[in-house]
Amino acid sequence: MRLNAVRTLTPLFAAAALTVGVAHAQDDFPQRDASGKTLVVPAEHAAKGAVYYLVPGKPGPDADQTRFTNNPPDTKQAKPVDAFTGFSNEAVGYIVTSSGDPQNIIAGEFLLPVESMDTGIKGRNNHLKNKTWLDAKKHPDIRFSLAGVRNLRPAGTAGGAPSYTAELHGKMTLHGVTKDFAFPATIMVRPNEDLIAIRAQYPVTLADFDVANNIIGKKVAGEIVVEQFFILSPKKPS
Amino acid sequence: MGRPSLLRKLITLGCCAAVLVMSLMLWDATGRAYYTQQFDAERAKREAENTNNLANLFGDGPAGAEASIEAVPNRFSLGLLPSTEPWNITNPDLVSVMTISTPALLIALLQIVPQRSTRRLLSMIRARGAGGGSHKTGAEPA
Repeated sequence: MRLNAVRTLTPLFAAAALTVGVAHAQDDFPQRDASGKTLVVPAEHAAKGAVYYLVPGKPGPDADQTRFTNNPPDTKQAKPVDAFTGFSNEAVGYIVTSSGDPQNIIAGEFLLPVESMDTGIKGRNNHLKNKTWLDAKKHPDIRFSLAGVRNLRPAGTAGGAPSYTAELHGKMTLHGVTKDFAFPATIMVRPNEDLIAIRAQYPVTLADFDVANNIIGKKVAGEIVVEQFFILSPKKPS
Repeated sequence: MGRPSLLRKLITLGCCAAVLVMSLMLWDATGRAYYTQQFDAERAKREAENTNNLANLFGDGPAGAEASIEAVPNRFSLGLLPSTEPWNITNPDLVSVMTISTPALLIALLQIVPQRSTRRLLSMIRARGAGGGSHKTGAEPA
C-alpha cells in the first residue's frame, strides 16, 4: 500500500517540481521597477559608478530602438518574399559608467520583451512567439547582461558628440540559453545634455540558443542581424 | 446573337483587365510589398505617446552614416500575396494582388473558353454528381 502511494506520488512531485522550475525559469533575471519602464538597479551595480537608464520608447519618429532582419539563406527554398525586418521599442535597462568617464561602461542589464517584437504581419508575429521559435510564454524576455567594454577608442564626433568605438561584452540569454556574447558598438556622448547613445549591429546565431526548426536554414537564415540604438540618461524613467 | 455576345465578352474582359491592372497599380503605389501589411492604429497610438525625440541630438554617426536606425514603417501595403491563410475570409490580411485578381482572371477565363466547352464541362460534373446519387434523373444535357 505504502509502496503504491510512493509510486503514485513520486511522478506527481516530479511534475510539480518541473512546473515550478519552468514558471521560475527567469526568476534570476533583473526585475522591472513599479513603473515597468526600467529595471531595479542592484546596490552592487549602483556602487560601481554613475547609472544611466535606457530612455523608454522610440528614439525618434523615424527611428527605432531595435531592428532584426532575416536575409533568407542562399537555398532553393528561400525566396525574396521570405526577407523581413522587424522591430521593438520596448527594451528596458541601464548601464553603469565609471564616474566622470561616461563612455567607459562597466556594467549593465537590458531586457527585451519577446511579445514586443513586431514583424509587421500578425501571423508571422504569432509564429515568432510560439514554441518552435522564441517561446514567449516560457521565455518572455531576452536578456543582455553587460559586463563592460573592451578596446575603447575615440572615433571623432557624431553630430557634435564625442564618439568611441568599443566591444561590449557580457552574457546573452535567449530562449532560456545563456551564452557569452560580445559585439562591436559605437558609444556617443553628449556631455551638455548628459546623454549617452549606443549604436550596435551584430548577428545572433539561432542555433547557439537552441532555436531550431525545419524552416531555419531554408527560409530563415541561421543568423539574424540585430541593430540597436539605445539612448541613456541619468534621469530614471517613471 | 453574335454581336451582343461579343460585346458582352469584351466588356467583361476589359473589366477583368482593369481589376488586374489597378490592383498592380495599388501594389506599386503602396510600396511593392510581397505580403499585405495593414496600418496598425494601436501601434501608431502607442508610438505617439512613447516617442522621446532624442535621436536627432546624435545626428550623423562617426562614419557619416545616420547614428540612429531607420524605423520600420507603419502603413498599409498591398502585397502580392495575402498574409493570412486563404480560409480566413474575414481577415483583412487576405486582401492582396493575388486574391483580388484571381476571381477576375477566372471570370476572364470563362469568357475566353468557348461556351461549348464550359457547357460540356458542366454537364460532365452534373453527370458525375447524379451518378454518385441514389437515383438517376435522366435529365443530363446531351
